[in-house]
Amino acid sequence: MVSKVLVKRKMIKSSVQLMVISRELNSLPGVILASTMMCTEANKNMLKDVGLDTEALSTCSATDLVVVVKARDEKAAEQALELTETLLGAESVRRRDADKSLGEALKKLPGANMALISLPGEVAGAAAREALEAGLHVHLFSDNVPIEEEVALKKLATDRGLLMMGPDCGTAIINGVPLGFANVVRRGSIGVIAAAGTGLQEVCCIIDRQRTGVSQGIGLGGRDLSVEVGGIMMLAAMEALEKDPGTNVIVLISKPPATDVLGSILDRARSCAKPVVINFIGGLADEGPGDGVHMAGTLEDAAMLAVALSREETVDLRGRNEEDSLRQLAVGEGAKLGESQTFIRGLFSGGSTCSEALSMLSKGLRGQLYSNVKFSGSHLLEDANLSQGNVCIDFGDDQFTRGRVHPMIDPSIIQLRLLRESLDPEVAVILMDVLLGYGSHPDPAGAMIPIIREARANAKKDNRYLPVVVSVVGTDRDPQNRKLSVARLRDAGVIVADSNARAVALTLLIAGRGSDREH
Amino acid sequence: MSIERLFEEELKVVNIGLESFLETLLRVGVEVRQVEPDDAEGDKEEPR
Repeated sequence: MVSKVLVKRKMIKSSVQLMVISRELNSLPGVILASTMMCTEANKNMLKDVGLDTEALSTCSATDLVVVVKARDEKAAEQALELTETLLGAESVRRRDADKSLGEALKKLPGANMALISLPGEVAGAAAREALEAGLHVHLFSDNVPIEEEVALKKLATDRGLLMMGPDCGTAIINGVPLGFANVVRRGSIGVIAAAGTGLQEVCCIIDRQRTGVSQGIGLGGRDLSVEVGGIMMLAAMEALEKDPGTNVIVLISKPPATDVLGSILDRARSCAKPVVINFIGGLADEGPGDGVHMAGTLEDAAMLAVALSREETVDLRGRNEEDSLRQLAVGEGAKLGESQTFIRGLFSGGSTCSEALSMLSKGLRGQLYSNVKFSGSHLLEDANLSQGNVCIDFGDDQFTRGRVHPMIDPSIIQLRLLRESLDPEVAVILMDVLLGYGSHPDPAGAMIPIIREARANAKKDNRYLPVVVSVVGTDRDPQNRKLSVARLRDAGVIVADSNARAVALTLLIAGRGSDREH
Repeated sequence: MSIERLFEEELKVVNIGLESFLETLLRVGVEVRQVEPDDAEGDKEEPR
């Protein structure tokens, strides 16, 4: 394997440009890892820790751009650097047939009914308002839109009977069409409403694997159930799905809502004419639900409950995460660990998968749990770039995506962190999510495999065994194909669980050497 | 147009921003127009 580091002095590129460069580099044959980042002290330290420090890197500053490439051979690495130079030097080229304004587009596409907006946050809100005022439903992918603006946009949308999905809405499936980061799932009768992007993806994909389908997958953005926004769009979406003849079960997914908002959501669910399944990730699984409302403890349970309800069957969720085969596997893996190997390190692209892991680990671990995101039952890391104790990191959080590309498109920040974690003798298990679907990296499993091999080789040099547990969120009809991705990961010695919840349960068992309580 | 009406219609999308989303929509056979405003690049902010 060959590693190259290129430093471009005094070069600041927009994240849109970085995203284009990253996608191109990661698509090149022979490229294992390609990352573009600003040369901050944290990034320099991370690169140094994994042996990618160079003289140029040691003298660079936060206004310099760093490009790191790991490739199978010299030729592939050189090719990637050549392409980097070309792309960095290229002027932004407008598509020949692109329109300059929404008005121009609407003249050419009469009957347009949806605007998908992915502009930088400072201009995205205005574009969303213009689209709503033109009578379009909106999927606002962009983040960094002020919450006051979100409230105003959602009020405008409800006044006009329109959907306002977002801001910071990563995924949606409307009328079977994937918008943003979305998977190819069967159409069916389950309507999913989520203020949690990867939560929506995980639930829709599990429904699909049960050979059932999704009528609509409505994203809301992570702040919809905050005090400020008040669940405006979740309530509007519930109303619409209740009236939709194509939907017979409704699933609600979110991190725990603000207390003031919880009551109105539960009241609306209880009065709904259709069964409602709720997973407030990490909260309220035991809440007395009421007629027609079913509380689920995990994203997988929410999907399985919805499938059963759509088929008018009953399902027993108890004990599914504690199957004997899992326990045996965990005992075997745990027996290979050294005495010093104590901690779980969870490295996530998805916010919902990270939150679900935090929720489950906080109940099953005696040792302290840390994260870069606020979550009840865990502590905030002093420095998100340095692990301590048991850790779950959401690499899609703002602190990691400002000035760089989201890890679902460019997983290099997770790849580099994995290499770093592999050098820590206290690490017992690595836990990760791999997210497939449109918009994501063209082959996230393939990108991760050589790095996982390198990480395990690092541990082996130090006479340690390093188990890696992964869940793959996707379907067999996604461009990356889940079945093939899982098979390749398993061939590389990775333990692949059927869901994120099962991956977390298995990780707990391994770290506990076969016991899932208080290790 | 109400949300329920949207569910009964064929989706026609105006994509404002990332071309990768345009590629997806074209790939799944959706009618789409691409809008690239002059200030679409913005500065250093990540669009998600």
